Amino acid sequence: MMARVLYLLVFVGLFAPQYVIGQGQADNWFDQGNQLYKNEQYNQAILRWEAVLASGVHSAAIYYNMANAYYHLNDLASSIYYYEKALALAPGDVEIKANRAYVQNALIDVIREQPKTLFQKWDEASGQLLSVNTWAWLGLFFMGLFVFVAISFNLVETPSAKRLSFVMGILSVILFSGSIAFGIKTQSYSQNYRWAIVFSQEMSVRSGPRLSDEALFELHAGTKVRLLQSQDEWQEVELADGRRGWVSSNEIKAL
Amino acid sequence: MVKWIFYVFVLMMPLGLAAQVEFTAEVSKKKLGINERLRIDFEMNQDGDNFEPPSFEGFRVLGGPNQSISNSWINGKRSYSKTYSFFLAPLKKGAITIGQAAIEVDGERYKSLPVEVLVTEAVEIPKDGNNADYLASENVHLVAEVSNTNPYLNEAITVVYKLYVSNQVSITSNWREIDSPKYADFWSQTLDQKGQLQIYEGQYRGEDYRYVVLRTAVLYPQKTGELSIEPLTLDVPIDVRSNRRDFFGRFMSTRVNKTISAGRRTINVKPLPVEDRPEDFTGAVGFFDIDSSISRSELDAQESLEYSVTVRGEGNLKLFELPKPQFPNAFEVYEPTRNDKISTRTSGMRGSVSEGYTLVPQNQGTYPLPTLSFSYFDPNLERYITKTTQDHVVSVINGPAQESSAQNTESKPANTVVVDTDRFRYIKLQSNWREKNPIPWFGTWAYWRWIIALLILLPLWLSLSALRNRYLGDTVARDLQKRKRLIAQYLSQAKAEQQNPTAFYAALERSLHLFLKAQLKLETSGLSKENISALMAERKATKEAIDRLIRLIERCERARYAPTTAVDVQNDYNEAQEVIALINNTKR
Repeated sequence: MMARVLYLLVFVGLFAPQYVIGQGQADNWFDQGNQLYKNEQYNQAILRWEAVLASGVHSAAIYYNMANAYYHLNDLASSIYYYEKALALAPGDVEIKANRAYVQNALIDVIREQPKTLFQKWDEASGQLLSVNTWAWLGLFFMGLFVFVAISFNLVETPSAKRLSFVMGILSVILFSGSIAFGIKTQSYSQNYRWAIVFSQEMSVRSGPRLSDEALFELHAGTKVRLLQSQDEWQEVELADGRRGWVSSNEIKAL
Repeated sequence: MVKWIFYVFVLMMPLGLAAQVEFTAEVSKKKLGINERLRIDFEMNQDGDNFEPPSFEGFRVLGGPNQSISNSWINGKRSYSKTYSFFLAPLKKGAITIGQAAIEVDGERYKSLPVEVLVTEAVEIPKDGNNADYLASENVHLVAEVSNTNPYLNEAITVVYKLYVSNQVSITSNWREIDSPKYADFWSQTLDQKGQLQIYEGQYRGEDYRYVVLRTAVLYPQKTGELSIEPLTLDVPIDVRSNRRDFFGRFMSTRVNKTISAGRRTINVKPLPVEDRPEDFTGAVGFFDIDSSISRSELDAQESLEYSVTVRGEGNLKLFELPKPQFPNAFEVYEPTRNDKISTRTSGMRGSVSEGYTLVPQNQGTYPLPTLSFSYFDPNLERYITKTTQDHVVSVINGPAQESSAQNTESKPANTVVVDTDRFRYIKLQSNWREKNPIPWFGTWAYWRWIIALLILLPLWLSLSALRNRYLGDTVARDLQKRKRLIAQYLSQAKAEQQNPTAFYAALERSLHLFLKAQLKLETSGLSKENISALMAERKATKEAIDRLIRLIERCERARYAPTTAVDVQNDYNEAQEVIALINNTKR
């Protein structure tokens, strides 16, 4: 226990200042990029922002800015790629969605989403509610709450206080297991639902992981695909409309 | 005629002058095929008798001897000839010598020279030097000249049909085409000569000929391997000069209708190389250039623009597909219009093929149009070449809101955020940084250890508190005993003096003072009853305990200074015990 506390202290002592320094530098580069974007030097701006990403931090804002810059450079695939990355961090952001719609208009492929059942919708929504780490912290918190309530149950003497702490104890156990369940769900969702963007101008989706396999249909740059299984240089993908096939994995870029 | 000559001969006979005798053997040809025939003439210029033909060994005599006599008288000079002719068929190949023939003129024997004849293998058409047919076939040739007999698939080849005519024959009227070649495995275009045929001078097998170009065909092979070009067959009327002359001494010509054909030609078509073949290759072979253009780059939604792709160059322009451009989904695209400007020459097709698309953008925005790539095979360089068009960006300035958002509101009316898409939003200037690759924590052993650590707190605390309770319980019991012992100690003196009330009360009072002194840390001198009760109250002693203590002290004082009989020693001793215990308790 002592060692753990020490570790925590060391961790905070070691990483916190660095993190703060890194953040300052990131803000600096980010602002430089913003200035370059304003002056329509999109390539330069992207370079600055990439430097920020290389420093190990990211945010929805920086991905969104990069996507906008790529749109101005007419690189639709990269643009969509960064919009999707931004939306992964900020799923409800209106600005990101609005600008992404512009790029989607310029894409060649239109993939109509397959209608989903209510259960499927719930299933997907539950996997995107909060991040895994948030669920982990929540789980830890509710576990702590339970322990606290259990101890106080032991301490208090009046029947009303005892009743209250009992109810709270039961509640925190339920919330704890809920958090853990959602955490597992989110984790498996992020493992099962991996996405990629088509970067090649035009590519064939084949029925199997060989060039000799029949080409089923064509996809064009900027289309979002879900990654399924992979073999060697080949990746099985699924489209939003349910079509599946194999593509060469260097023609797509995973989010 | 012969008769007439004969009469003349008979008439002129006496006038004949004896001249030198010539007796010769002449063959119609010195070289012949075994299936051909030969005529041999034995000619003399004096009338001879007793003609003795040679044995004709190696030959079969088909006809003869035929005797002919000619006698002419020109300008007082007589010329006479008598000829014995034989028609012979050779029986074997090789050099055959025809032996000597003999004749007797004026009692003398004359012999002809032996003639050597070469008999070769059978020839297709027995050559007859004077046959019009033979002459016609020997002097008119139809030739198909192929520019390249080993082309690549889809590489243009040219077949030129030339009619060679030698100077000995002439063609004065039109020929008839009996059989036109069908180019089964080719894409073909024939270029017929229009109007008057141009006559060229040329050589055919080393001899001077005149020729005309009848027809030129441009062929694009559509299959690999051995392909054959069917012959062109013509029925040609040929005027052949005969040996006869007309009234004015000109040679008379005979007309022969001859069927001549250009031989069957075989072409070996090479397949295009498989390695390095670009994916977008659609079969273009030749030399090309691709170009794309848009009619305007800035417009409003619902207006139209033209996008055209043009491939120009030389090669099989009609035989491949133009690359199909892919347009952004916000564009309405109409069926393309195709525009071919192709002229076919002897070298192949040349010109341009273009397709024009009418596009109508539906929404505002900036739309980069994808570049097109076009690959062709260059047969001269023998490799594939890919060319691309330049980029075009279409800016749609004014336009309606996004189509997609309208659809969204249709399909999910309730919970969609209505996205304002009238403008492209500016970048965000604030950023909340997050760690890019957070260390995975959930589900790891470290995480579960934290959970377990928390859970362990519970039994830990429970056991700790149980331990403490036990410990606390122990101290209470010990305290009680200690206090009892203390009380007993304080009251031991008084207990000993129970028989003597005065001494008992003195001892009891002393004990109480001692107790208060020890417990309340008070000097006995300052111990007035008021003082005690105030101090006791300060120490949260109960009122009852204070009252009882004060009364007890009073009773002790009364007993000491005014000794009475009515004292309850036993009772007061018990009272003292209880009070001390009470005060002790409250103090704690």
